Amino acid sequence: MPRKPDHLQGSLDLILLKALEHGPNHGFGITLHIESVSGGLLSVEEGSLYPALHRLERGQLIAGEWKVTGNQRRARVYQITAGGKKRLAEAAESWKSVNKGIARMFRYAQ
Amino acid sequence: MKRDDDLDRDLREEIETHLRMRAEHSAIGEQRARKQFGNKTQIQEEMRSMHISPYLDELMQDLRYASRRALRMPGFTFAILAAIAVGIGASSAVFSVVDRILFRPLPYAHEEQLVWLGMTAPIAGGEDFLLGGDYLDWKDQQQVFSHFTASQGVEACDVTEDNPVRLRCMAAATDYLETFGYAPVIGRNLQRGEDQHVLISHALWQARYNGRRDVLNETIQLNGKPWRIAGVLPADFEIPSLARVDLVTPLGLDETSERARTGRVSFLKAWARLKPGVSLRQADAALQPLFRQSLKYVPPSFVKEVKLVTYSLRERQARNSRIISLTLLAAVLAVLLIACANVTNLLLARAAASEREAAIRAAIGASRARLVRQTLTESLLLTFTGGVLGLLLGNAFLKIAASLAPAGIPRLQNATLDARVLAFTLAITLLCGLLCGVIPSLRTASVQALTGARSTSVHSWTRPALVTVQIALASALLYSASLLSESLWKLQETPLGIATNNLISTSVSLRDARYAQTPLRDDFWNRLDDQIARLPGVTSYAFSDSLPPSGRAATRIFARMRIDGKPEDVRGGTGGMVLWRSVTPAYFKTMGIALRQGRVFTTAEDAKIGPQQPPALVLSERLARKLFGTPDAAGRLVKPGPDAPWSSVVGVVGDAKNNGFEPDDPEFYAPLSRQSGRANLILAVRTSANPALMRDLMRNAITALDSHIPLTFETMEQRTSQLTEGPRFNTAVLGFFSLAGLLLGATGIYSVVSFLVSQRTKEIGIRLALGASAQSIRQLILRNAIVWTLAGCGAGTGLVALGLPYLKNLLYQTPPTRPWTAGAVLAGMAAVAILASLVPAIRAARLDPIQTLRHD
Repeated sequence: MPRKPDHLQGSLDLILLKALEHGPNHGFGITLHIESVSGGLLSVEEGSLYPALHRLERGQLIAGEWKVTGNQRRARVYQITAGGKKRLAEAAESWKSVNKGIARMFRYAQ
Repeated sequence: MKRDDDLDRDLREEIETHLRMRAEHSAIGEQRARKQFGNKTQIQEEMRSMHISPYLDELMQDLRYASRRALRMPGFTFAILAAIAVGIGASSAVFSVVDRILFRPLPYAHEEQLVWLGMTAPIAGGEDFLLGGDYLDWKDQQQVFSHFTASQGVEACDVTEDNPVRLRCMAAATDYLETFGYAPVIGRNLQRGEDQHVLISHALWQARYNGRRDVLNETIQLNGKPWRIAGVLPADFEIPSLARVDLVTPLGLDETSERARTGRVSFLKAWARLKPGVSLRQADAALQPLFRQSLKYVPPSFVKEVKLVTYSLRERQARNSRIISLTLLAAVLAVLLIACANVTNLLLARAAASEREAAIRAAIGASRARLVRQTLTESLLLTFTGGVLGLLLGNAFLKIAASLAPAGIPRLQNATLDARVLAFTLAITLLCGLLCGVIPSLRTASVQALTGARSTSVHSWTRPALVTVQIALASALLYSASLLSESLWKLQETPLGIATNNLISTSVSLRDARYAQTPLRDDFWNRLDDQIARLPGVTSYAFSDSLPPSGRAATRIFARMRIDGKPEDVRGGTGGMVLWRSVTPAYFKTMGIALRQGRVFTTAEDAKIGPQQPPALVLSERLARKLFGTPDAAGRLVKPGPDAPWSSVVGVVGDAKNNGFEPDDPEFYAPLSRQSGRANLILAVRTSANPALMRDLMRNAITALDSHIPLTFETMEQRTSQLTEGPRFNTAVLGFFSLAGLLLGATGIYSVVSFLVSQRTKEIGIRLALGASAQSIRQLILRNAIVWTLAGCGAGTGLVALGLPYLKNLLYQTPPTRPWTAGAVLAGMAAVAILASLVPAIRAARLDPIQTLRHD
């Protein structure tokens, strides 16, 4: 019986979902994608990447599958699910509003 | 979820792939990539945990915790397991027996359409019957049934060829099998107008013919005539009366004479299958006109006593064993409830003892749901272990029960722990586990318990209530068992009127065609008479056409008997049945039936010498009183029936038990004529030797005359003990249950009182320190126990009162409301309960106040 987490566990889940929204990818590909898109500002701790992927998979937000990649290597490729997209949209919304709120606080404080 | 090994391999491969990609991409060695990645094993373990259900994980934790606790307190665990094993074992055993009677699907297709019908009248002894003519007329005229069939009763028949054996034959209409939805496994059904063809049972086919398929069209010598085997019955063939049947023969009614109700009239049993959409009630209504038409043939004085009956097959079939089945089921469920109450109490006691532990767990963050789940897991673990032990025990119970060989419960011999019983056991085990776990788990673990400020349980009423229920159930069981044993004792003490020791009998049949002529048969009896007379060890012997205490005998209708030249009494009613037997003069001496007045027959009467004299009769005392109002009947004249001659009563003898459980029927004896040409007689021998030795001598004597006669011997002790077999079994089983209930109830009250003492240790210490006497402490503790016991006994009496209408049917001449029995049982129950609580009470009074106050 899968148990849906009530909220995304911190920002890592959000970042992973966002990365996969771009297209299916394997774990290593995801780290590269995040590093390049964030312009090197964000880097993913490799040790926490895989447990997070499996947690998301268990919550049915992403789906993993063994596939053969472009250079003939077998890798486990993850893909965002419809549920994942929905959750990502919600999270993005709340992330934005939290962000907005914090930004206002800072402005006010200044 | 994937299997563990697969999962582990996947996780490892995923990490390895990552490491290789990293090493290639960043152009670093794999060693370095590995280092950068971190603790691989730990990460893999973390990934793995994402795939394991948290419930399952917690369940495993709880199970480990529960089994550790169970092993830590072996005495406690043993008490729980024993209670559950006994409760569940007994329940499964009883269920496997009554399931076959009450719930099991019958082997008939669409059994709900099957109807058991017929007429009933007191003279038929409660049996349902249909006369041959009625059967034929009804079958033609009815419109509510798709099938309407009939059979004769099951009768003994002899295979008169090599390996002679006595079998059980039933003559049935040709559509009998079809009505019940059967077809022969090999061969074909019997056909109309076809005589001398038989169907053989599957068992007989296997045993006598080794299951040969070419058995068809072979002949079997039956009662001296050759019969052709037309087919083999299916293995699950079962007739509604559940009697064993080895051979089915054609009914072969003489339709013309049956319809005219002249000549020989057949007594049949009838069944029918309802047309789709027709209810039993509608069928009954539709049969009424046919029934009224049949009543025209019944003598007017009997009409009032004849009734039409229609039952669903299952209802009628379970009629005889239904009450005992329900009684046993109720009794065993009572035992199970007592056991569950015990377990609940023990778990409650332990939960209270570990209240602090629970409070600590709650304080450090265990949710209430988690604690409830843990308690339930624990009780389920215990009940399931107990359930498995119970199944083993149940199997043993069943073996013991089957070896007691009761005649009262059909199909007990082949009751087994099958899938249905296992499902039942699983269900009650689960129910018990939840029942026992729910109350303890509902106790709120509160942090207050840590302070010691409040130490009594929130549900302080549950424990006494459970004990009261236990005592109520146990006393109800005891009371019922005591009624049954009293009834059994009465039954065994009933004077039989027969000296049962050293008396052995066998039934001898001359059914072979070689004895077709009467003189040949008479010749056989005479030669047998000579042989037996010459045997050593024979004190006395006799021939008769039937033998007490049960079984068939010839009958007359009392109302048709005339006395002293008076006309027949036509006031109405049958007056019941009168049994009669044809016996040789030595019958009374052989059976040990006492002569009350006059004399028994003489050899001259036996040989029918002097036809100018009226035939002689001997009356039983009961009949003499009923006919003449006095046992002083020698010399009076009696005409036993319209077709019988006026006869002279030469003597009156004592009553002999002759009607099973029912009150005895009146009885008379006629001399067995030496020229009767009878095909079947019973030989009874009283011996000074060992009956087993006598049996061999008798067998030799008979086989010397004819080796094709099947013989079975019975001592009179065997015959009479069959009468009490059913009640003996009921009493033994119920007695066992009530003992189990008593023991469980006693341990229940003991454990609760002990627990309360331990809870009140401090209070008792203070009382003692303030000068309370040991006596007053004992009273303090006992007072509660006495109140619960009395309440329980009261409720138990109420339960018995509710069950009495059913219980009454199992009792023989015992008025079911007996103040003395009730008083004795309740006093006994109370004594045991109070004794059980006396032990902890005495212990409480001996407490050392200093020690108790120091006690944390």
